[in-house]
Amino acid sequence: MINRRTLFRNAAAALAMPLLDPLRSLSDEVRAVRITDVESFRISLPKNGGNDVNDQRVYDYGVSRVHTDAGISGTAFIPCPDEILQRWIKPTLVGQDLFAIQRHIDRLQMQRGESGVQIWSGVEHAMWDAIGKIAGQPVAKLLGGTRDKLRVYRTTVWPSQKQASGSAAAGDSDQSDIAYETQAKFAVRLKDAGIEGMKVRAWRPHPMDDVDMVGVVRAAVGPGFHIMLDRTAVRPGWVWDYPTALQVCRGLEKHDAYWLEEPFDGHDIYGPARLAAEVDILITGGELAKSTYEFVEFLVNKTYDVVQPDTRICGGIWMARKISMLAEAFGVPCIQHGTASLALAGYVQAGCAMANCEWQEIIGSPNLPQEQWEPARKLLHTDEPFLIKDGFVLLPDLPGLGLALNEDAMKEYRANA
Amino acid sequence: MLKPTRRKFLGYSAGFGAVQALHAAVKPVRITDVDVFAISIPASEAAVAAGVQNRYVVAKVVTDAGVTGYSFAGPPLSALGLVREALIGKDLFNVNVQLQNGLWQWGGVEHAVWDAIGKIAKRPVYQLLGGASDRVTAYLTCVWKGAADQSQVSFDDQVAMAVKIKKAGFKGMKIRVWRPDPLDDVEVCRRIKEATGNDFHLMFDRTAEMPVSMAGQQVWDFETGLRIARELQKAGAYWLEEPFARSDYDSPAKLAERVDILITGGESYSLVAPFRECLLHRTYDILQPDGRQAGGIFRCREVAVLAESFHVPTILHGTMSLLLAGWLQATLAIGAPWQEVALITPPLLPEEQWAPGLKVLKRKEMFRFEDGQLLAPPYAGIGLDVDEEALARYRVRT
Repeated sequence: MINRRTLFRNAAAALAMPLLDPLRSLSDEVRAVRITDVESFRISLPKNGGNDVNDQRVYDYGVSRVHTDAGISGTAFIPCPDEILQRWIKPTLVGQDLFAIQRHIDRLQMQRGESGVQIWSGVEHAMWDAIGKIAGQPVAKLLGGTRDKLRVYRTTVWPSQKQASGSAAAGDSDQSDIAYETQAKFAVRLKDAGIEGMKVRAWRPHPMDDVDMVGVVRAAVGPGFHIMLDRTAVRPGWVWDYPTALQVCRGLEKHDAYWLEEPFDGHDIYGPARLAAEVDILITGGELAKSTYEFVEFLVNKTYDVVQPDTRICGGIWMARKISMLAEAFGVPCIQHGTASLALAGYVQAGCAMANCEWQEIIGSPNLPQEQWEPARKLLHTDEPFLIKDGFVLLPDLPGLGLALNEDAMKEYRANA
Repeated sequence: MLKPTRRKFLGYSAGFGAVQALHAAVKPVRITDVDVFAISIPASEAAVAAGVQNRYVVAKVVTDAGVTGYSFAGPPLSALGLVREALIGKDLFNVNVQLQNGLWQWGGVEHAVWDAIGKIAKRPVYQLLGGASDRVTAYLTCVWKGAADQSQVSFDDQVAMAVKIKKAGFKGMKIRVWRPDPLDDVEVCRRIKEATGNDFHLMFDRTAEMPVSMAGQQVWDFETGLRIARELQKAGAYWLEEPFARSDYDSPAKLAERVDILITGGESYSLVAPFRECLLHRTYDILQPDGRQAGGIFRCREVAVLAESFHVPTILHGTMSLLLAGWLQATLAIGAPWQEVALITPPLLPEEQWAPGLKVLKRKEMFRFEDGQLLAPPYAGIGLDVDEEALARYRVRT
């Protein structure tokens, strides 16, 4: 039993339990923590670089925030649209138990069907931030803690050069105006910075062009570096047929690419399964799936070699954690689909709890993650939101989602609604 | 439900006042010691003979955060060497890593780890693992003293116990279907339902593999299973548990397809893979991982996540008395509709059978029952306030 005196004597305990009221002993009843308010707002940081399209640092952030009657708030850098917030989230959450995550999911699903939980992801991340802060622990530690760092790969999307000159047209995001050598040069830069993998789009109009590009990248970075290809088939607006996918995979294998992501429609169960059975390169996907039920279909049908839930799209940290448990039961790695800048906080917590998650994707333009989130340092008490060391993003040793927010700065840069 | 007193509320707020603390580095919590030992709480010979529970194996996990976790579902004492080797010096919170290193084999030790985690986080464990519910309907599994197959028990005694249980507020009871002629058990079912009515749930446990040594009983062939399941269904039974061999994933599935009565099982499986096989084979209508055998609280939670995705409920195989604390946290995290309370020795009711257990608790409270439901213990960890001095007093010296 902890009494006031032993607690004060035990500095370790005080650190581990920064929030423990010394007057409360463990035999006292635990008070329920109620959600008192939920809000979402924008943070807008001053742009030093003007409106240069090549300045790909992130200045604008959507924020979700949960307030509780324990005097602790939780914050996540994922927004929640106001209409959704007023109509669904607040009536479901305000006055309710902060810790009853699954019950809130059940209620949202009852009200809105399977997609009901997708809308609350930002708020859910904020709730976990509050939960971790009240518990005095990083969220990853509360969810079965497995690791304290995740290997980073950089998903790199080059801004369209036509867009830069003001003549953007649909399809330019297919990277067809980017030289293979430009992509190769950036891969080398990542490698020199200690990052061990890069993912790029496979959207070029001639699919084998992307295979040639990988060849150029491989020649530049040498062996060992991980090269991933993302087809995200729904986004470029057209889906490969099976022979094309097979041909691309064979080409990618020659250049020792690591994986091909979503070769077909994101909800296609059998196409990727057929491809995965036929080729050696890993076939991955799942970022669009919104429920555990959909992932069970992927797993039972061997759709993907690696499943990639997105903790914003699938319904939050707890949902992603559940999906990782499902994948683990089927012996399938669960490597979360990623995000950028401060939104990363919840992803890192979820990933570090998972037994089968080795990598963390950080998405951005051709810059380093640290450059991308450089403007956000203004919002923090710490120098960096996340430490990247030897190619790994480290689990922050702070409670909750691990961001040490400077509330004065949060107020100063809060955008007027 | 829980009204914070003014004192508590002020104390709580004062604790949160130190905003700086939110930005202080969290120090990893290390396991500094583990112990596993037996205790024997004094009870009269007559009470023990009647089934009163007074012996436990305690698992104790000591941390460098000044918090100790306990469970009364400890592993065999002989495991202690391995347990200590696997856990001492390790990060308390990295449960998944410790499970992979062998913790899953030592049941109650994992519960004690979660007890310490919950106490450090100052929350009940179920709230950290999804917190799906804060109460669960209990059913009592009754096994009469004497022959394992219960052939010595009169039908009237079984009916009387069911009526007593119902009067005590419980909503369900499970008994064995082990008698040499299973139609005798069907007759018991008919009589109990007649005496208790439709809102009282009666479950039947075949535990098909276990009785071989205990009662010379054999695993039914499929036709017998089908016939008895149909008879039990007609007599109003709620479920039939483990009608066939545990390694047989297909026969229960075939049976479940052909009858309406629920076919359940799973208590003997360890880790998640056998449950996955059950789900892929549609073996059971309800999965019943055991809070210890399956690998602990966390593995049960994982089984439930898997089962839920196949639209199959998870209802933990149960246990009794102080052991129940860990099981209950898993059940509440999952939001399971029932919690088994086992094994009850008629005519005792749970609180009578568990009375000696209160002697090792400082707060003289084990579980709260309300209208046949087990309530979430409103305390941190797995909810027991263990009296260290009492444990020392009752420790069995070996």
